[in-house]
Amino acid sequence: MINEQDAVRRCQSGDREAFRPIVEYYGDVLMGTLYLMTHDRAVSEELVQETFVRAWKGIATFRLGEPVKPWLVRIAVNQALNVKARRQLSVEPLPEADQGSTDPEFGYVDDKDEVRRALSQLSDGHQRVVALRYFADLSTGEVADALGVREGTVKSRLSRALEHLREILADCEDET
Amino acid sequence: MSEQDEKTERRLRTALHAAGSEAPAPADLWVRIKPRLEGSTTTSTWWQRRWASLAVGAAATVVLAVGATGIVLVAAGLTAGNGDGLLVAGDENSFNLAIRSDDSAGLFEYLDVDDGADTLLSQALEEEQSGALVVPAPQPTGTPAPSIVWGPAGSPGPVGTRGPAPSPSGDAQDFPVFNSERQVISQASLTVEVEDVGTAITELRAFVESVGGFIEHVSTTDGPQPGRGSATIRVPAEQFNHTIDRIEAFGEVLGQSLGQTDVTGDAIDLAAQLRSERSAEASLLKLLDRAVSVSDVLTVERELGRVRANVERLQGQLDFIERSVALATITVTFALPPDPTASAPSASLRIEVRDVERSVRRIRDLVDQAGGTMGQVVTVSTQQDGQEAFLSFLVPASAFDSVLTSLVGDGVVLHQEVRSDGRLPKDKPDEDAQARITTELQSPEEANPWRSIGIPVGGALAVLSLVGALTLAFRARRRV
Repeated sequence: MINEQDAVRRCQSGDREAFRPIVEYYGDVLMGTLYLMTHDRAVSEELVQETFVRAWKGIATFRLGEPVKPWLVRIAVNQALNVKARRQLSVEPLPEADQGSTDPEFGYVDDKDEVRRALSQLSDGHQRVVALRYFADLSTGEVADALGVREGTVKSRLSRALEHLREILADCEDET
Repeated sequence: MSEQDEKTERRLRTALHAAGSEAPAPADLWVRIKPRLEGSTTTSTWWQRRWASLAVGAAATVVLAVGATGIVLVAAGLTAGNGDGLLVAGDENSFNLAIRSDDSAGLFEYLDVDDGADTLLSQALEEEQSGALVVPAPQPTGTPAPSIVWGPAGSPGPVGTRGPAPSPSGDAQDFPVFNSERQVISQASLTVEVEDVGTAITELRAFVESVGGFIEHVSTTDGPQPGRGSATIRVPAEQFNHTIDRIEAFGEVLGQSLGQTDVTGDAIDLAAQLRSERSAEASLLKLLDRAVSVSDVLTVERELGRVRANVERLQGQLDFIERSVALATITVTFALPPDPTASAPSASLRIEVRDVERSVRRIRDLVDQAGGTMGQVVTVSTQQDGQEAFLSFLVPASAFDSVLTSLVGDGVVLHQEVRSDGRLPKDKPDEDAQARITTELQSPEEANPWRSIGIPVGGALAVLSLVGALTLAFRARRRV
């Protein structure tokens, strides 16, 4: 067993194997975040690799005592934004989940698709903030850091995104 | 945060986790990345260090400036806010709000506020006036009251605490712990030749216990001197190689197989699934608290039962992997050295030959030529004027097949039993191994011509004699 900070310390002294647990531990969260941003699995796979390679190259300057996840997510987001700028990735609606988990009696389960449809109606910026806050589980300060905006902006975007989602979901419920 | 917001957040988290989980990281992510790390440097260069120093200096200047502003604002707040117990400090983007408790002088409650400061401020005021805001209990006498500690705005954390290094969980020291070592299950199987199987198993048991392991299963063949015994032992993984060395020292190793299975990926997958299920369990428990109707309670409890069953199953699988990794499994088979005669081939034959004596002579020659040893030879005459001979002899195992072929070609084989497991004594060259052949020779019943002629001829003679006697008797009577 090795503490995250010990792993970073060993990486900083050039121990490549110490980087492995970091890759394996944070691989899924980075991949998921990138997928939510790009909606493209193949691109996300490329980006997650690029993220870790860049993280390794920059790990010497990482400040011990800081958590690793926000730092990795920040690199991943920059990668995604760069690619987006270069390739002009179109924001496709999130694919709908399988029907296997639906349960008509259990509202919070069967509305996954509904929420995802509502999410896809949010602006790009709002989707990004929501993904980092509620999927990557970053604090608002860390989201701000990752996106290069002020924390107040993140909070207001989150607030507006939630409000917008509530409206969309309420409309859906009214329709049904 | 309103209940509506919380509900929306929950739904969002669930939906996002479902969407994000559809694209898990590739299983071979590390394999793909590792070659790209070759040649990458992790050592900072002089210019990186210089820039870092400059950045630290600049940051320190900014912090000092902000701090000074904050102190001024705090002082202003203390002066202006004495009446309502509020302290406000910060810069234009964010600031901290402290509410002084009426009944615990010197203790403050801290909140982060930002662009929406007006709203939050009014909310905080309302809560403070209504008594909804929780104020920490007074510190024991002698404990210094918490001082206002300035940290980066926006760091959520337990009310009343502010850490210098923000983290998602709000606790800078709560870093994840990785299992950096490979999860490998070690297994081995050895067959060792020993002089005494019982003693070997006793010594093995003592050794295994001395290294912190145990014997899982042991079995021996019947009898006071078991010819074969096997044991399945479990030893701590770190003692695996040492244990193999010790087992090899028991005697000659007749065969062994060693294997290691890397289950790191499986363990990581299971741990991830377990985290996800536990998170779902926590969410369901919160939902259960809020459930109002009986129907809701039943539905949540049903879902909770399913999730808990998954948690138990995953935990069980993880525990099994951990146990298998922690304790190596070694199967040891002890066997006695093979018996030279027992392990050499042997045969038992019954052959019908025309001339038993001639065949016996021929077999003697055959055994001599093969370099074997003639054993007991018993020849008997049967009541039917036939002969039978019983022979037992040893021939070199290498000549066994040729001798057997010659014997079989000498007559009609009435019975044949050959025992050959193909395993020869290891401590003797092949030519020294002796194969035992027991042969029973018998002459065929039709081999005695008198026997086949005598019965009908004798019978005919007897009939003729009887007829002659009756004729003579009849004639004599007529004369009279």
